[in-house]
Amino acid sequence: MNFHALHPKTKLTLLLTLYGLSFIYPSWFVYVFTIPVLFLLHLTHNTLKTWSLSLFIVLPYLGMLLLINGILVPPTQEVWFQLYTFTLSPESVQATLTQTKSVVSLVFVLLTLFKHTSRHDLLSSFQSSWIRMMIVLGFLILNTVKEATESLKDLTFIQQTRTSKISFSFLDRLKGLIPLMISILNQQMMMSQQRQLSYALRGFQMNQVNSTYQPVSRFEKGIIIMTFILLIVLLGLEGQSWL
Amino acid sequence: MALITLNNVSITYQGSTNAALKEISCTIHQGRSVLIQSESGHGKTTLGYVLQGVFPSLIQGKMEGSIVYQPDVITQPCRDIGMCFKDPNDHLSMIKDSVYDELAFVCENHGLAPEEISFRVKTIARLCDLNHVLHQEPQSLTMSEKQRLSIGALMCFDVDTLIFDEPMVYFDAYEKKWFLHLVEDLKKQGKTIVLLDHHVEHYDTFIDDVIVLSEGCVVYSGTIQEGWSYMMHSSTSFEVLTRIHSRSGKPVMNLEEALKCIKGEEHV
Repeated sequence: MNFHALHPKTKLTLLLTLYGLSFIYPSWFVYVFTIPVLFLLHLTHNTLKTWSLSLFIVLPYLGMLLLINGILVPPTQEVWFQLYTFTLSPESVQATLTQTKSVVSLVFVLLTLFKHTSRHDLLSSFQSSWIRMMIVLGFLILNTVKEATESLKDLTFIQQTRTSKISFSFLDRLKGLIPLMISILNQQMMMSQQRQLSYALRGFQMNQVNSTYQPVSRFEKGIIIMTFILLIVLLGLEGQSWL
Repeated sequence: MALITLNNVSITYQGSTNAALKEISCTIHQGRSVLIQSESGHGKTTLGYVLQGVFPSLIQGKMEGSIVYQPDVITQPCRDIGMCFKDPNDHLSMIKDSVYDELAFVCENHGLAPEEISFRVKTIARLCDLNHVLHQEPQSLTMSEKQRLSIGALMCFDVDTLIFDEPMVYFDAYEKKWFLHLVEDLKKQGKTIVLLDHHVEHYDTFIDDVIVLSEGCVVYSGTIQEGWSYMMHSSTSFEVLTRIHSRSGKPVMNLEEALKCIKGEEHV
């Protein structure tokens, strides 16, 4: 089975079902969510390296959540580390990991959908205006990240050509990135305003019903088959005590 | 017939104290080609946005005065008037995988039939010389290809009024020639063309009217013939003046000749 060959609606159902299952059976997270998705990805593109690298983006988010939970979640038994109101305890770590998992899983689901589905197919599959809007939003967010990364690379290169000092210290480089990020953010905001104008002038969301030059020809009934297979797998797993 | 009439329109962008346009009054006539000329930063693009009717609904700012559209021709300015931006990157939707999809975007938004979309996209791709990049990602194109793509995307939905904001910035000599032929053809079809540019000399063969802006004010609005004379005598732009003079057969004008021109002692 090739993940690419599925109808976009089928892919969305499959991924959201897996995401939902990760909440229903938290201890099965690794089995019912990560492995099948990674397996599907492996079948289509060799992008595992990219995905694993992108997980590094989670680290600042993880740190921020740990800080908040360290202050807000009270320890019940053991305290590993304490600094004023911040306490590092098994409870705060557990809360951080649960929250991170839920967000990371959702981002992972959406990224998988957007990376493995043609934009045309995805937009053509959904006629509802708000779903289309959400999809467009998803694509634009992905593009913004891509554009911002490219701008950052360009700016860094320009700085290097202007013989700015390049420090190998991580903290120094981080400090150097902050002013660049502000200018990139500003640039992205201006571009988004211009893009909003461009969309309006090209009639985006002007009509209730959009047309398409080529309807998605993939097997839409796959959505039923996929749900059926998932149910069978689930029922089978339900009987396995070793899970 | 007056297509768009501006009555004392002033525009101040949000967060700015200076008005970008100051009490502009002018008329765009149907079926005519109009050049809005000014130096950079003197209000060409803002005037283009005003004509397009995006103030203040899509661009935040304060607008005074009124715009009157010919009700038989323009009912929804955003839909009935097409505008091609100066930077072609701003025109890309960024949600399409190929040039083909990008061209089809506007037709899909207006709910055209699949056969009609395919026909229009293929025709426009051939017209804009985009056939060889039809299945490439729009972001991967060169700037001139992106500019042709944005012009093509504008033409895919057949509007009667077209605004081009500095359309030839990224074009080489061959592409400039192509664009000028295209605009001439559009004019022959009866479309209203508004060109925003500081280069006057490119368009002098087919432009009917000229609106000259300086620091957000209209300093001249009238026919091209009167415009040449006006610009020469008022020395609105020395650069323009030089070019006008060079059209008379003298390739380069020196300072003495230019001063004579400004004083009206020498007529081209």
